[in-house]
This record gives sequence, C-alpha cells and structure tokens, in this order.
Amino acid sequence: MPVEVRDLSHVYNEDSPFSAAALKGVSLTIADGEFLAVIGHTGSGKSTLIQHLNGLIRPTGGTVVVDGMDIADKGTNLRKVRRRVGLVFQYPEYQLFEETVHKDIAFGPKNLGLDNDEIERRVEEACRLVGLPYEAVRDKSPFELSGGQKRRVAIAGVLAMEPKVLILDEPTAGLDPAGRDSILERVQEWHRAGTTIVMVSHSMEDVARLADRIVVLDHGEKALEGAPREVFADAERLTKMGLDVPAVTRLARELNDAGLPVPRDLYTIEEMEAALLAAFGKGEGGC
Amino acid sequence: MTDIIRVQDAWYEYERADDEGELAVRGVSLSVRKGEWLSIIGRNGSGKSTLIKLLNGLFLPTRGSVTVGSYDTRDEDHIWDVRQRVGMIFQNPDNQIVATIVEEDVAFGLENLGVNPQEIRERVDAALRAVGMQEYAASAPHMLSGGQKQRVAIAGALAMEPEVLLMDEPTAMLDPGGRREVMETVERLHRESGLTVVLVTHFMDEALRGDRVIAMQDGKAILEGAPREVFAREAEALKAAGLEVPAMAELASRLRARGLDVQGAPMTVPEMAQALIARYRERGASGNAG
Repeated sequence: MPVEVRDLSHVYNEDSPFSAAALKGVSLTIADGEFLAVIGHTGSGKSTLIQHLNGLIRPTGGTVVVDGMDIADKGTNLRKVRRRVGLVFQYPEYQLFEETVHKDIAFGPKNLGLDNDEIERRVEEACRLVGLPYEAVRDKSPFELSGGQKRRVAIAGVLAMEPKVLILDEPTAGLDPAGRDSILERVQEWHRAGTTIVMVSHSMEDVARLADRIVVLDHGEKALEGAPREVFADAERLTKMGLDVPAVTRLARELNDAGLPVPRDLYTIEEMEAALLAAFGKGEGGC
Repeated sequence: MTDIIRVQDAWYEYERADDEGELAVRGVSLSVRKGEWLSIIGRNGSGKSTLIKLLNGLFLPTRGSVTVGSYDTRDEDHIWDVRQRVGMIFQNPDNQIVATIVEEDVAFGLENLGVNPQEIRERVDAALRAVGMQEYAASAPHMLSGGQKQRVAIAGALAMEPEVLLMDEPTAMLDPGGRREVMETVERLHRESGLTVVLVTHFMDEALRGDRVIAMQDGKAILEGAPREVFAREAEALKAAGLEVPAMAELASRLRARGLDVQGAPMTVPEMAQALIARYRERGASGNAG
C-alpha cells in the first residue's frame, strides 16, 4: 500500500493578506515497508507534509493517495485513511488526557467500534510494542509516569490502531540518551516487523543510521532525495539549509582529505571504527 | 573564585493529589562561581530541571537553602532582585515570546521594571547586538526560525543585565543550524562578556563546551568535574546513569579497546582528526625507516 504524494502544495490562509505557502509542489512515493526520513530546517514544511499523509489537513494543490484513496477528493472517508496511516506528533505526551493508561490507549480502538476482547488485545499488544509493563501501568494515571514513559503511552495509543504506515514527528526530542536509544530500537523493531516508517528528525546521526531513504525539505520544496550517502554527499549545501552531516562523516572527510585510506561516506561510529582499524592495519586478522 | 549562587543541602518535593509527595531533588549542595559555565546532565526525571528552577527562586527548596548573592530565594522582599540577577531561558522558544515585534519582546522586562525609555532603547539595542539579531529588531517573532527565536529570548534576558543565565535544554527543539547558532551565541557571551552560564542539556557535546559539569541521578549530584575529565574517566558511570560521552570520546575508547591508542583524549571532530592524522604519519615515517 504505497503512499503517493503528487505535486502537493499547501498555502495557509489562502486569499488573505496573511497567506503563506508552506509546501510548493512536492512529489514523492513512500514504498511499502520502507524507512523514510524527512529532514529540513524549522519552517521547511515537514510538519505540513506529514499532516497531509493521513488527511489531517487537505491540500490546496495536488494530492496524496493512500491505498487508492485520494485525500483531496471530498468524497473520501478520511477516517479510513487514518486507520492505515498513524501519526505521532512531536511531544505526543502533551495529548494524553484519560484517567488511566489503559483508557488512553484504548481510546482509538474504541472509536473504531471494536469489541471489548479485541480492544483488550490491542491495548496489551501496544504496551508490549512500546516496552511498557502492561499489568503494572494499566490502571495508573498517565500523569504519574516519567516523561519517557508518557511518550510511550502516547505512541502506544497510535500503535493500537494497527496502522500500516507510522509517521513519527521527532520521536526523541527532549529525551535523554538512554531514552532516545530505547525508542529508536523500538522503531527499528516495528520497521522489521513490516510497518512502513516515516520519521521526521533533527538528528543527522539517527537519520543516517536508520533510514533507507531521506527527503530534504527546504522552504517548502523538496531539495534533495535519496539514500543517506547521496543526501549527505554535499555537506556545504546541507549546512546552508540549516542542516548538517553526522559528526562521523565530518571526521571521515577530514581524514580522507589528509590522505588516510578512509572512505568519505561513513555515517556511524561502528563504520568508522572498522575503517580506522583497517587503515592502521589492526583488522580482524591483525591479532 | 566568587560564588554567585550557593545551594546548601537543597531538597524539593512536588506535591501530588494523593498526598504522596515526590522528591525530585534530594540534598544537593553546589556553588555557581562567577564567570563559569556549569552544565547539568542527567536522565529525564533525574531532577536537573527542578534543580535549575531552584537557582532563581522559580521553585523554593522544601528543605535546605539557595542564596543568590546575599539574598535567600525564600525572602519574598528580594525575589525580584534574585530574578534580575539570574535570567532564565526555556526549551520551547514559542512559550517565552510575548510581544508581536522583536524589540518590544526584548524590552518587556525592562518596561515592567519602569526603566526610563532612553535607557530601554540602549539596553535593547545592546542586547540584540549581543545575540546578532539587530537586523530583526522590527520583525515579527513568528517569522523567525527556532534558533533566531531562542536568540531573541536570550536578548530579553540579557537586557535585564543578569549575572547568570540559566538555560533549560535551550536547543532541544531546534534544527542543527539553530543549535549551532544558539551554542555559538552562548559561547561568545560567556567568553567575551564573562557571562555566567548554567546549562541543562541532553547533548554531551554542549556540556563539553563548559568549564564544569554535574551529572544528576535520582535527585542527587553523582559526578562533578571538568567535562573532559568526567567524560574521559567516568564513561562507565555515565552509561550506567543512562547518559553517554561525546561521539568522538566513544570512538576513541572503542579504538583503544582494539589496540589503537589515540593520544590526547580527543573529544571533538577537529581534535580527533588531528590526533589520527598525526598517528598515521608517525606510523608511515617509522614504517619507511624500517
């Protein structure tokens, strides 16, 4: 069930003196099972783009087609679109509202009209997927939990809808290093289990390590698109767009420029470690 | 070195509806010294945000004391003296901008103090220059990028001519360009104007820029020292506390474990590049000789 974004434009407050074009003719296809990252400076249109992917806002030009359903078509049942495409907002813990963790996660499935057994199964499964101890937290108020746990409850609420495509808007913003790693490991697990992932992030390290493909937005337009090594090839251009390349990549380029036999396109500490051990003749066979 | 802020055995307990309080800070003692940059790291829920809010009397300790200069933060008669001396920047730039024009936003605190208009003009201009935002004096804040908004917020704090600037994760919501802008601005103010900085952060490379770092766990300060020493010596303790060391320090320790020793404990990309290049050339030279 691919998601097709076709020449998508969005102008906020169209026909008013305050009109502002947030997206200008963006086209892209999100393939089944892919891990797509969206990066761009603040105000580049990332949030506007992802809100179209599940029909939360309608395009002012172009369209998005999800599983054959055209979100620009007034006749399309957007609820159906939202069952397939789940959206986790930035700082989703601010949207928790129920008395108990169970009720909060069950809210979406209940609105789908599912029977109690199925709701129960989904809530339990969603807790398992985000790594929350179901029995221990089900009757707690979400507001008693730590920041990292609250975020898991909020994500579980979206997972309980069993979406085929999961969109995460900066899922690790404000989390400590251990909390960040733990959420990202979960995201990788969901991806391996077949969920299509679209992740918005300001961390070039995370994006380089996890994504199959990266789309770069700049002032509402698609500026670059490709595998991490293609997108991160032009560090200067990314810097001009308010972005960066991973620290490891900066190091790789400095070493390569100085004549060390280290490739320029390295993105993770593991890759750099292996390349340096080889360059210094301390490879696997060395000991 | 003179201490500007003194925290003595401070405890802080959040009240909860079920009457079971929650102890967020448990007996912390520390001093903030004039002209230093102190960073506070720790997991979510470790008490670091609560601690920083104790430093300007936004929260009052439930036990122990916090003094700013000669004022105890619990002394209501001098709370505004405390707040004037110790400014604060929060995580979300949109939650701390109040006016519709940048320079009016920067002037907001001064107007409330009843400072005369001529002086307000001078202080606002100086503050905007200090953060490199003078060109945007007449702009609308909502048209600015995240990094620019944070710099405006910093200008608003600077206009009050504080001795200490507290920052609670000021770059958490910013893109890489915004993070660079804000950190470079803070570094410059600290270096050139001697501004005392207390920074709460989850980014170890930001903590690395400071003079001193304190790691919090379960409401207590568990580690303290110069960032380079703490990151070099306490990598295991930091990991156990859910933290990490800067990426280049992590790389150096992995290489060391595999028999490739990198000299000088590099922590940044330029330092690591320099150390590796020197090591490689040395090796080449000795190889040729043999």
